[in-house]
Amino acid sequence: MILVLETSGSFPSVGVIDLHGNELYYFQLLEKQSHAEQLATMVDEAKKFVESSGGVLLAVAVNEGPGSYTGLRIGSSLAKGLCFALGIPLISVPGMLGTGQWFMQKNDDLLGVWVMLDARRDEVYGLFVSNDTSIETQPKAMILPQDFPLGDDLSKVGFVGDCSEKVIRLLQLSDVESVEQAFISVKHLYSLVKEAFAANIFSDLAYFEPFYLKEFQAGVSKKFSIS
Amino acid sequence: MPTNTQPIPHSIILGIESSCDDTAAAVFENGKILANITATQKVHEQYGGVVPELASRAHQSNIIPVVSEALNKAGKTIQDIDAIAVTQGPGLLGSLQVGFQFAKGLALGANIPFVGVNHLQAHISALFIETPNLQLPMIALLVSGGHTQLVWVESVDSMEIIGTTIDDAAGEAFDKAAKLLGLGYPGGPLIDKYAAQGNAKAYDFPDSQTAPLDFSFSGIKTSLLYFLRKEIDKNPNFVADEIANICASYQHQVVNILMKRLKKAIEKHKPGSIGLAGGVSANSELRKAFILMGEKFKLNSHIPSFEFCTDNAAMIAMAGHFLLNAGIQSTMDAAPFSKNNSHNFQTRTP
Repeated sequence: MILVLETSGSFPSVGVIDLHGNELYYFQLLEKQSHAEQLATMVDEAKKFVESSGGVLLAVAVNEGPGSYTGLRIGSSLAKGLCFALGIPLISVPGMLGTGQWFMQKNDDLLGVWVMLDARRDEVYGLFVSNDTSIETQPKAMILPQDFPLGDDLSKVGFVGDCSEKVIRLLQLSDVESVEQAFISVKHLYSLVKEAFAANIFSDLAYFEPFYLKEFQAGVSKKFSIS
Repeated sequence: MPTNTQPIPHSIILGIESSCDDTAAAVFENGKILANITATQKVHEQYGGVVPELASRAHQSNIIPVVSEALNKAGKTIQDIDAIAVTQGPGLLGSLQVGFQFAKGLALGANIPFVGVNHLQAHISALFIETPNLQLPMIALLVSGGHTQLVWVESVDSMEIIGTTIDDAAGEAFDKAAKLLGLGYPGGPLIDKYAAQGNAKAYDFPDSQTAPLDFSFSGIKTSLLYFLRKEIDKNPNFVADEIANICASYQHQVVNILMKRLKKAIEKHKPGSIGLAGGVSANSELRKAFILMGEKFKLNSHIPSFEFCTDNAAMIAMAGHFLLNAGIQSTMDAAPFSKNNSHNFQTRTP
C-alpha cells in the first residue's frame, strides 16, 4: 500500500492506494488552513487503517508543488519523518499535472485544460495540460490578465482549480467550454503515484525540497543604516 | 495539547531543534548527551540577518542528514529511540514547522511518543546538562539573538520569566551594531574581538528607562546609529579609525544593561545560584561580569559549555527528558507557536 498526502491547497487530504492505484482509504478535511494541527492526526488514522487491514506501507507520496509554501513544507516534512522511521521511499509527483489529467479524463472532448491555483491577488500558478500527452508544459507563475496567452483559441479548452472563477473574471472570458472550481485533492495524484512506484522513481529522501516554482528574492534591509 | 501520561524514565530521547537558522539533533540517554549535532545555515550571511523563508527551505534539506549524523554518532538507530523532544516555539514559524512536522512523522513511523518543548525553557534546561545538581532556586539570565530574559527557576519543571526585553534582544543589539559598522553577520563575536583591543570608556551609550527587571536595547542601537552619522560627517574614516573603541564602549554598555537588571533581580529574589544561558553567553566581557556578579553575592554562577549555549538540540532533549519524566507528552494535533504568550513557561499540564 502507498500513503498519499496532498497539502498544497487549502484543504489537506490523505489517501491510501494499492499498487494498481485503487483507492482503499480517503479523508479530506473541510477546514481551511488546518494542516499544522490536523495532518498528523489524519496520517495517524490512515496508518491505523493500513495496520487494521493487514497491509504494509511500501512508500509515502506527496504533491511536490507548486502551491502553498507552508502547506507543502508541512506535508513534505511529515512525510520525510515517516519515511525515515519506516525505512521506506518517498515519492513526489506534480499535483497540478495530476489535477489536469483528472479533469481531462472526465472531459475527453476538450483539447486541453488550464489548471489554475490561487497565488493571491491577481497572481496564479497556471499549467496547461493538453489531451495530446506528447505535449508537456511546465507550471508558470502568472499575473492575470497580462501573462495569459489570450490570443489562443479557447473554444475547446477547460479551466479547473481553486481559483477558476477568479481567472474567468480577470480574463473576462465568456465562452469557455468547461469551468470547474475544484480544490486539489489527493485523488488527483493516485495515477501519477502508481506510475512512479511501478517505475521505481523515488525522491532523494534526505535532500528533497518542495517545488516552490518562484525563486525566493530576499533583499538586504536598508532601514537601519548609516547612510 | 499536552497530555499527562505515565512517566518515561531512563529513556533514550532524540532532540530536534529548528526554531531559527540552526538545524540540530541530539541523542540523550540516562542523563548523558551521546551526540549533539548542529548545522548552521550560511545562506543568511549575505543578508546581514536571518531570512525566514530561506531558513525554512534550508531546514528541509538539513533535517535528515543532521538526525542521521546524531544517531550514528550515538551508535543508535531510530528503532532504539524511546521518545522524541522537539522545539515547539517560540521561533520562526516556517522553520519550526519543518522540525515539528518531521518529529511528528518520526513519532508516527516509529510508534513512539513525542513532546513539544518551549525553546526558552530548553535554554535554561541546558544549565542542567553539565551540572545536574544546581542550587535551586536559581535566577537564569537568558541572552540570545532572539531573547533576553531573567528567569526564576524554582525546579526543572517550574520556571517563571521575571524580566524580559520590551523591544530588541541583546544579541540583536550586537548584530545590528555589527551591521552598522560593516562587520558582517553574526556580529556578536566580531564586536567582542574588536572590543578586546579598545577602551570601554571612550564613548558613552545610554541605558533606557524600563521596569526594574525589564530590558530595552532599541535605544542604545539607535543611539549608535546617530552617533556614527554625526562622527562620520566630521571624519569619513571614523569607523575604521575608531572601530576598537566603538566596539569596546558599545559592548560595555550592553553588558552593563544586563548586569544592572541581574543585580536587581538577585537583591529582590535572593536565589541559591545564578545561571547564564543563550548564545550571547559566549561574549567574553559578559562571562567575566557574570562571574564577578556571582562572587559579589557569594553565589555559584553557572555557564554551560558553548555548544550548549547557542541553539542546539541537546538542550531540547534535556528539557524533553524533564517533561517526559513528569508524564507530559504532546498529541498529534499539537502545532508550533511563534511567540511566547505567557510569562510562565508551558511546562505544567493546563
